[in-house]
Amino acid sequence: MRIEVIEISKTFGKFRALDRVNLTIHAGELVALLGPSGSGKTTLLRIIAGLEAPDPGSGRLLFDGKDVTYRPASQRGVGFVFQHYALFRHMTVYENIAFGLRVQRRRLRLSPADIDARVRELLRLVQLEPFAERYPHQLSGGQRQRVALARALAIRPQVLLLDEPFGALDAKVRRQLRTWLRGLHDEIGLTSVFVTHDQDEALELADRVVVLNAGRIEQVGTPEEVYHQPQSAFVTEFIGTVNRFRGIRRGSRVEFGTSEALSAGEEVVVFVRPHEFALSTIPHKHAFPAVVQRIHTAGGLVKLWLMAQSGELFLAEIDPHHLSQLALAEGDTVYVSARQLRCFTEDGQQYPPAEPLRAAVGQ
Amino acid sequence: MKQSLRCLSLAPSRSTSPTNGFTAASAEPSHPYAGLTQSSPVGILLRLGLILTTLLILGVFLVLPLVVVFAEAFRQGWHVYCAAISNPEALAAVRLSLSVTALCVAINTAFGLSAAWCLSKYRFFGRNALISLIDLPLSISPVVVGLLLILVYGQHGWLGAILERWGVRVIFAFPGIVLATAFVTLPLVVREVKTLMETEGSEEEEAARLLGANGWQIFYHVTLPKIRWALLYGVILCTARSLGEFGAVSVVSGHIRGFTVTLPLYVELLYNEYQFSAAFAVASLLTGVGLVTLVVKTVWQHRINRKLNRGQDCLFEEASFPCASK
Repeated sequence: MRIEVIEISKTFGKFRALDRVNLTIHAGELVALLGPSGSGKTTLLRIIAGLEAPDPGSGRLLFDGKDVTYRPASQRGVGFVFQHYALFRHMTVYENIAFGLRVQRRRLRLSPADIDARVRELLRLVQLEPFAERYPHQLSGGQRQRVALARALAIRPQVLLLDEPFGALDAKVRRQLRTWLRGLHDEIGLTSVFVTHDQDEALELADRVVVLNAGRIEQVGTPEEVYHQPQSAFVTEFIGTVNRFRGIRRGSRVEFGTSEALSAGEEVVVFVRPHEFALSTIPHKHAFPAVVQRIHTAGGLVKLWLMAQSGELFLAEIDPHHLSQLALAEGDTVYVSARQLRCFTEDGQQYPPAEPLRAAVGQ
Repeated sequence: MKQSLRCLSLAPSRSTSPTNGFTAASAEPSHPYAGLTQSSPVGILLRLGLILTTLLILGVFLVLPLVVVFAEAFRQGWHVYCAAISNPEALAAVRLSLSVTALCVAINTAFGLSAAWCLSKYRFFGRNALISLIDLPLSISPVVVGLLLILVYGQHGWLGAILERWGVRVIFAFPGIVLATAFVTLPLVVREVKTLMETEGSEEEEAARLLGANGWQIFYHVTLPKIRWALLYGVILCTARSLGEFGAVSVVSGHIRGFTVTLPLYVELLYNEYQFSAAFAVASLLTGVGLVTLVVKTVWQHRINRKLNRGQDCLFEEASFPCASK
């Protein structure tokens, strides 16, 4: 089912949780709503589910082209998985999953035998058959999560919404469930939207990522686009690890990392990812000097904490082989240039627009 | 006794929540003073002192009066006791008290559920004022409540005159007693249920709604099971208080023997007439009801806790969970 969010706003008292948001989610997509807390991602999800109403007259919500803005949550046919699962604690796993089928209006309700068959099928799907008679408090977090999923899927929704689905789980279970959920999504062919503040989760799992900040959508794109071509300073900083420098743009030249007076030019913010630095022991035209503060060799890449003359501390990652070639020690001076960088003017415009700078432009 | 009841009631509502149940089972927090009280001689003395003080206070304030009530009741033997509680006036008082209590519990349960729901689920103008207002009956003297009722419903009261014209008598009659009792016991159910509803949140209700349940189904299948112990506790408190209410009822009842005399009023009546044994006999009835309530509740609680604990024994055998990477 295609979901269209058109110009939707939501205010809580004086707090503007969503500010004229537009978004189209295509049928069969797995979309991540990614943002820091307070960015409005959960509010957007709850509006799609019908648990919150958008500000009166602010916008519309369409399911397959049909206006559902004011359709009650109970009639949207949406599967929803809560962050803390919200399982019915006084019901067994079986009863939890059967609930949505049993409360149907008599005319639409399946026969008890069909309900039983459906519940068994779902128990099999989430691999919880031996746990049918357990109560939620007798299950581990990962198991509860899967019960919540089975319960949401029982009513055969066309849309599955998940609020921080892996937030309350430990890292190992989280990774397993992530892979499993992706498989499940592809198998059933749902349109799924999940909320997360974990960029790894969003980038790894989603077809498209929607980055939200302060109630607005900053960028919508595939994980590759969002990672490699961030369109705003916020997205650049939020996705992946990145170093931030103050810089000056003069025509096509961008200067940063130097202590010399940054005069005559437009002030810009320069972002360079740790692996995008080129280090050298010999000074050259495009490089600025920096002092090695700390070398961290545990891991696949070597992490170098460097201090530029401008007083900015930044992180560079190089492979261990390169480090041994450079023969660096803490306290040494090294000449740094950026193989690639992103540059934003103070008002948030990208320079040059859309394309990351490929040339090394240091001092 | 109220305090101990309260503690008991909190236990199951806490352990029904899944996460808390888990922590309670796995990690019993060690007592902060455990070291002090068990090792040093000062600690031992302190512990003994505290235990003795508590026992003394409990004995003087709780156990002694209880014993006295029953001792006095039976002082002149079974015969007098039976006669005292089986004469027509006593039976009328029992009947009146029971029907007033039944009505009040029904009224306050209905009111308590709806008020708790509305106060915990919605945010609206005047909500805080309403919350304070609900506690009002606890903070004003029951006698004042009785006087207020007379001012409103009495023969010369604002509403009383109109009702009188329709032939409805409130003050010095059954409706007045019910009104007074219901007023005084109003907050008991609301407070218990509202607290629980607020701490539990409404995600389960939201989940039920999204699964297509209508309002009644959500209430019956999700909310009610969640709050049933708080509700039961509120009802028990309300019952106990309704049976025992004296002040407000005394003002509005008019003390018409055999008609508007409830059990507590009857005790006072007998006592003032120097029929001490009879007075204590009737008082022992009231006390007995209180004790039975307490026992029933404790046993019930115990059973629930045991059930919950048994459930937790077979916890957390995480089934092997292969990654489905089809």
